Amino acid sequence: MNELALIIEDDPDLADIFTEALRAAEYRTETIRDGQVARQRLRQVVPKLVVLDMHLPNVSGIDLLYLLRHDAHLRKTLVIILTADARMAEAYEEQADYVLIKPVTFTQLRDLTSRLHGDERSPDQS
Amino acid sequence: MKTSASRVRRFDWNRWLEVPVTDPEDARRRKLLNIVLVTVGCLSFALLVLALAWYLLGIPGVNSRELGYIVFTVGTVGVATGGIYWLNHSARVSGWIAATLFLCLLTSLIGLSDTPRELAAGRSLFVWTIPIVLAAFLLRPWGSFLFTGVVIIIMVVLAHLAQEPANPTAIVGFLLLAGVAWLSASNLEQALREVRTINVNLDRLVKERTQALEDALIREHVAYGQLQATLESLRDGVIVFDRQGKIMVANPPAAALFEVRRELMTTRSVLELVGSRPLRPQDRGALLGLLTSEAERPLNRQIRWGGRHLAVWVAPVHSAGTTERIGTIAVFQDITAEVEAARMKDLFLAMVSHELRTPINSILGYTDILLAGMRGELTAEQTETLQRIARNGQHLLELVSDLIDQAQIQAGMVKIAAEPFELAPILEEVRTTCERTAADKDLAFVVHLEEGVPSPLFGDPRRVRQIILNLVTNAIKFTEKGAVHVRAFAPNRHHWSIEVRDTGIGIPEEKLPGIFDPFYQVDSSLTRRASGFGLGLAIVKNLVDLMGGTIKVKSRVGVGSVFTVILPIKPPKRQRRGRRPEIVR
Repeated sequence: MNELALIIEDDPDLADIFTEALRAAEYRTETIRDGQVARQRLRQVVPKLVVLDMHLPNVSGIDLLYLLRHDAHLRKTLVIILTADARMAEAYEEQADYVLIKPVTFTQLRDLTSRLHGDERSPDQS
Repeated sequence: MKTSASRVRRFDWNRWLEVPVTDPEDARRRKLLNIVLVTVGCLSFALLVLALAWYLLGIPGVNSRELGYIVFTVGTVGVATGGIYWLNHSARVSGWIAATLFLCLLTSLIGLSDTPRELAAGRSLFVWTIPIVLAAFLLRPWGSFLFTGVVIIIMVVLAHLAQEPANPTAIVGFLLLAGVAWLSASNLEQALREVRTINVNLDRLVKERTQALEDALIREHVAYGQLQATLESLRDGVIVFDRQGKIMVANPPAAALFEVRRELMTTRSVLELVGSRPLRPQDRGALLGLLTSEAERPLNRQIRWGGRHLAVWVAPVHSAGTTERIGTIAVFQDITAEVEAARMKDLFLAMVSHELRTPINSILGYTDILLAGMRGELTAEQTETLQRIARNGQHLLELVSDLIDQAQIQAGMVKIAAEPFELAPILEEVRTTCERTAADKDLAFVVHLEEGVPSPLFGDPRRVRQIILNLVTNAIKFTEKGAVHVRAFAPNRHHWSIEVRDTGIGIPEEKLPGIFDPFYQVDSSLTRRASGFGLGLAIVKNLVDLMGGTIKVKSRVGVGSVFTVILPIKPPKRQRRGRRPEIVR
């Protein structure tokens, strides 16, 4: 069974592209376009990895990132954050596993995530 | 100023003595005659009174017959004197008439004052000198000779009457006396004439000078008025100060800028005023440097002044028509609006460009999806077509990214990292990225990292890569044959350097100075196809500046170009966040 990748991205086109990229990297995907919905869903499933756009409307990506890092259930989930802001990238480098500076291409995401299949996140990794 | 009381006490002699005639010589003589007449008149009166008193008091010596005689004589003299005075006083009657009459009267009196014998040769000889001398002063200088003649005739007659021989010594003496009197009177009149001429000339000169002064004063007043009007109407602050910094002229905006009352500005020193303003140290330093500069050409700087941006211009002031510097003029121009506008523009550009990037990414993303076969298998043609789309999309993305980069740098939004990094992997990355393109154009492409470059270096690896990549892609773009060499070396202990050398078309000498300006393109049909906005080198220069480095270029048309970037090994302590460009009018 393929591992689950959760994509949290509000822009429809980007969400589509990222979903395809992760499918091409052989993940099972769930795409959530709204931050609130994402928060709820994260209580229900434990994805292998989460692709999080930091520039969501309504809910702050920072809050979601915090949730991902401090929820016991999700401690093994790999987090890839996407941001256009270099300063933000620097600020949240520590909390995320990977930071991709937008614009992120299809191939970039596909190649990165396809390498992560076997990876485990160790609990003390920060 | 005389009070009315003193006016009554002081008798106005001039009204009685001066005769209003036009000829000053005539006036002088008439006045002199009047003085003499008045004296004679007074004496006569006194004599009359004396005689009367003598008689009335019964003093022996004066009986009624003698009194009558005295009264008659003195009275006649008095009346004659009065008549002559009246004649003299009338301006319509010529002056010499009264003078001559008086002199004749005098001569007659003298002739009757003693016995002929005494008058001709005796004790009364001396009295004849009186009319001779007086004639020179009352009549004309030569009048003395005239009356000498008269006197001599009378003397001879009297001598004959007295049956005495005429006194030749006396005659000679009288002639000499006449000469002396004539000389004195002539010289006096000559001297007086000269004084009068001098006075007239002086008066004229004074009048001329006064007029000239008045005119100059009016001109200055007008000029000053114009200057005032000009200064008052200016929006910018203007201050003129002398070599010691003391303010000579200041207009209202300048006074407002320094928060000093306009009238008090000229009592202050401009240096002291600047010193007491709450300015940033670098602004105060720059401003003081500008104001104390002795440079002969105009200078300008931009500074922050409280919440405003000012452009300050200084120029020397020279004394009219000379090269002697008497002071400095400083103009303070508020450019806050312009600076703000420029900043707004850059911010806007950065934001707008960012918006442009999103759909481009989507285009590229979907193209990638198609190319990855995720929407079904593709024919070779379809693949090729999609690749073209992708290439153009990529190109478009690069253009927009360049725009964003430039705008962000201009808006001061770019921060240069200061972290340790290795140069070798960056060079390797550049090589792999560019070797295909170079090979396609059949160019030799060499990347070499020399010994001596320290490891690690400090700075921003991402931006360093951007710089090198930019220079190399440019070199490859503008080279049709030959080679592109990339060399990293250490020119000295404190710096490291990247040199990109190509055998391309080169850059014409006149285009070299502007090569790092934004949107600058070396116009050539060869480059038209592949070019972008021409921002590449501008971005490179901006980044190099932000890192505290320098970039140089050497080029010859038809031979090639060399771009050299020199960066400090340890970057400056405080990373600048981006420079505000100079606004040049």
